[in-house]
Amino acid sequence: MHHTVLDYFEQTLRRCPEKAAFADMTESYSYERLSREARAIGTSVAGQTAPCRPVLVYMEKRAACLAAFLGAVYAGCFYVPVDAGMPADRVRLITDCLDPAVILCDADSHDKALQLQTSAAVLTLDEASSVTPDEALLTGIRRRMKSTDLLYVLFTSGSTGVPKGVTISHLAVTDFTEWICERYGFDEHSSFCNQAPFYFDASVPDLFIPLYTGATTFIPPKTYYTFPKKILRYVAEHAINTLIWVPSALCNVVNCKAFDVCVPDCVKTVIFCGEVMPCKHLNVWRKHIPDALYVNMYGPTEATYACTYYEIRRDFADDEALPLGAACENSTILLFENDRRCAPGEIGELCITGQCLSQGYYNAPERTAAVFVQNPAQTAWTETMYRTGDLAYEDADGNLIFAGRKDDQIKRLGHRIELGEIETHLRAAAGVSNACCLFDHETNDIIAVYAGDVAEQTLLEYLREKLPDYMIPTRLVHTAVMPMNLNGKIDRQKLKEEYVKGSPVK
Amino acid sequence: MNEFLAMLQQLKPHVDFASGDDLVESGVLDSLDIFDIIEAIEATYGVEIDGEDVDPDHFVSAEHMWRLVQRYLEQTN
Repeated sequence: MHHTVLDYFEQTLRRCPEKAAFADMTESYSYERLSREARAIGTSVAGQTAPCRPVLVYMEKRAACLAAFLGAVYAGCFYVPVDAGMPADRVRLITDCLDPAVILCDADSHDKALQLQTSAAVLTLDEASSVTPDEALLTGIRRRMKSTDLLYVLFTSGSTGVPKGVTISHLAVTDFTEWICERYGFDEHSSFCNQAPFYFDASVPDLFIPLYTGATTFIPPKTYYTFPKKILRYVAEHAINTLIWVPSALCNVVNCKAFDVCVPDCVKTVIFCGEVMPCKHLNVWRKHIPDALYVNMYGPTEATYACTYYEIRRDFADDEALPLGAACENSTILLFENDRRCAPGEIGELCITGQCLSQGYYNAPERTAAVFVQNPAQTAWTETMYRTGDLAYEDADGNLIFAGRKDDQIKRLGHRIELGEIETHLRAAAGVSNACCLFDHETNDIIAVYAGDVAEQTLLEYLREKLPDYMIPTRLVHTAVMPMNLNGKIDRQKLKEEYVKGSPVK
Repeated sequence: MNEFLAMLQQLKPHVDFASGDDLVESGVLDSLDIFDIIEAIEATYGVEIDGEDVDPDHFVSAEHMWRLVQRYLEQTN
């Protein structure tokens, strides 16, 4: 029986110990090496904490992160990835919420980890992986683990200014991994080119498909995606056959005309998730690599990577919208208008039930209760349903079609951002009397309008200390008077007309 | 060069183009920024940048970008 990802991993380990599981530019982790280091790290972590506690993995993305993640799991704990480049203030909000038991870092992030001044034990990977694994200890921990234990917590933007920690269990990940591998025939011959950061759920398939199948995930440097000819050459050189990227990364390949330089026809499957994929860009991919299967997936972090999928098997016009498709196996999508189920064709809030669901936001019962609710259509037993805040409708073919957001959440480079979180920080800045953030859907620009007596440059520097790069407004605009509507709220509509060129998506 | 610098500065007010000499490796310019700059160059100078030239070496600093623009301008003349 498979209770945890470790059961999958060890089965694969017995089958192909020498094969590369994860490889970055400088290091390659075979399944055997990954197992050895993870069990050593597990022993070190278990020496510091009881099971079921958070282990912060605080370092830049590299293959060694996987040993840290699995090390946390061998100790019966769950991992929380935080990039070493994230602003310290935001990391502090995360550690305040988590109260981590252990922080795993590397030589580069060690000082930063100590500066967080948490009560956690700070261990470098080198020291944690150099101990001899205590097999008796690990076996004892293992016997008490169950499939509903947490595997990881990922932090996403929260409108109050405090990020939300999405909890995900082993069962949610093993269930999803089994489905995606069977559906697309992934096995030890599959290879992946990791694009998303590990603190972002778009990387979940890259991390767990190899453990289940014996596949290899390559981890190229981030700048390769900024200059797409480099990433295409990298894909071709390593004969990578599967890309699981956010649409922005696929679009950038097209925008920068990288196919003129290299066409990696080794690619057989392209899966994208995280934001809307424009058909205009997809069509360029299909023209250059016509034999690949393209799949549009949809799902919030709260539903373990994806809960719907749509395989592209017909031509789409450049201005057509791709359907979200149908629910993945073992989950159900329901559309609600308040507590009333929507009829086919009617727009409603997209709600999810099933194994893929998160077990709520870490240490945040009120925020959890607001969106993880009893399925109103189920009155006979307890069934948790997650309200995504996304709007959708079902078309005549039974496919779900995306229809925008209920609130001010936006997507930029695939990252989900609550404009409210940026506004909270703007308003907290010295000299700012009021602030409002707008999003231009055409240009992907975040425009921050503020009133007060602080220079734009000063404010920008302040935001850089508080927010990750992808949340920094593209433009800061000072206004003498913030327009208000009759309810005494900021008149967003008026600001939009004044400052946003592109019209919002329908 | 001054006009070019002014264009860049207006396009990306948050970037210090005047003295920044490591805009790529330092992570100051992300993929959206690079594409915006390419689009602005193409629109302003009426050139079309090849995929091959979307290379980190050409975007290290404003100086490097300007050299790239000049090369295209020479080709068209």
